[in-house]
Amino acid sequence: MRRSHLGIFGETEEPRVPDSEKKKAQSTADNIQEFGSAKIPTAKSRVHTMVIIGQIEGHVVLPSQNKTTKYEHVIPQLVAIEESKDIKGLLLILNTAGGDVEAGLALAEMVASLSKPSVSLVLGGGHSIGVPVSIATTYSFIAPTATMTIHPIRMNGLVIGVPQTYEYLDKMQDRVVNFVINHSHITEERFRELMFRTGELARDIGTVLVGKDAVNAGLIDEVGGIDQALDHLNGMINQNKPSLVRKAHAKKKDRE
Amino acid sequence: MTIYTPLSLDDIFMEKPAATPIQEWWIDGRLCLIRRDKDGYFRLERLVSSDPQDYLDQRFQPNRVVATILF
Repeated sequence: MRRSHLGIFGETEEPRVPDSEKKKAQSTADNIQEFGSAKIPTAKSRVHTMVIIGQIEGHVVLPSQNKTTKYEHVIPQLVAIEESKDIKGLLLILNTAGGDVEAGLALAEMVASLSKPSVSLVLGGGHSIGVPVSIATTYSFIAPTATMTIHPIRMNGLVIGVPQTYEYLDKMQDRVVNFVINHSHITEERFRELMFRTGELARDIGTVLVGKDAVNAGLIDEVGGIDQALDHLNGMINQNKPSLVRKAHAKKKDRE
Repeated sequence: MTIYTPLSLDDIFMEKPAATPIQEWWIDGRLCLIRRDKDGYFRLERLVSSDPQDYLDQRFQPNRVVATILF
């Protein structure tokens, strides 16, 4: 009787609780003490969404009435996405009016060289330098009503040496054209034809491609929305094959 | 800078960018470039960090009011 009493006493003094349970209870107590809540919301989506809006801002800060995407913040974010163990894929959403050529190409090159699957969705507009950014992903979607304007690079301001300026602009344009033809299904001839077409734009030469037109031209892979974009991205993530990403880029390069 | 956009450059450069003085603040161990806006708030202009994960931290996104970073 006495022995059993001691036994019961001993058990009540030190209840046998598994270590994992102890830790859980302790962390919950810590959360209540530190944050006033038993459960802290943790955003642990495996997909990181990046939104490219307004003007893509380059080396010059644009006046405050412009909405801008700052490359000095987006580029390190892409580095973080590449090295993060939790992020498995990138969803790039675009509604941009273009912007700085070098900043746009820098973003496009960063996205294109990610080892993780990426999907872009063009909503509203993906104009000018937005074109290389939107096609840099493993797979691209465009909303049925979204538009992409393709037109030549232009300049304003003082021109000192005409031949030199022409050469420089031509090189800048070639950089954009080369990126586009290397990362989409469009041919150089077709892209330049769209770029220099007359009679479509009132204040410029070029072409406006609406939704399906961008797919038919070979720039974008498919017409779709957020559902299709996320579905495709999750499908690629589930396959978990980094080689698929490289294959997709190589396939685009082959230009069927 | 070569700007590639269908918008008119007059629309983009409608007004001259205001020359707001930038200050360097250390916040939570990170160097931040801070500007003071007309409304009196201090906002994050740019984060300077060698840890890429800092750029995914919601507290250090551009235009964040400094008070919301601190608390």
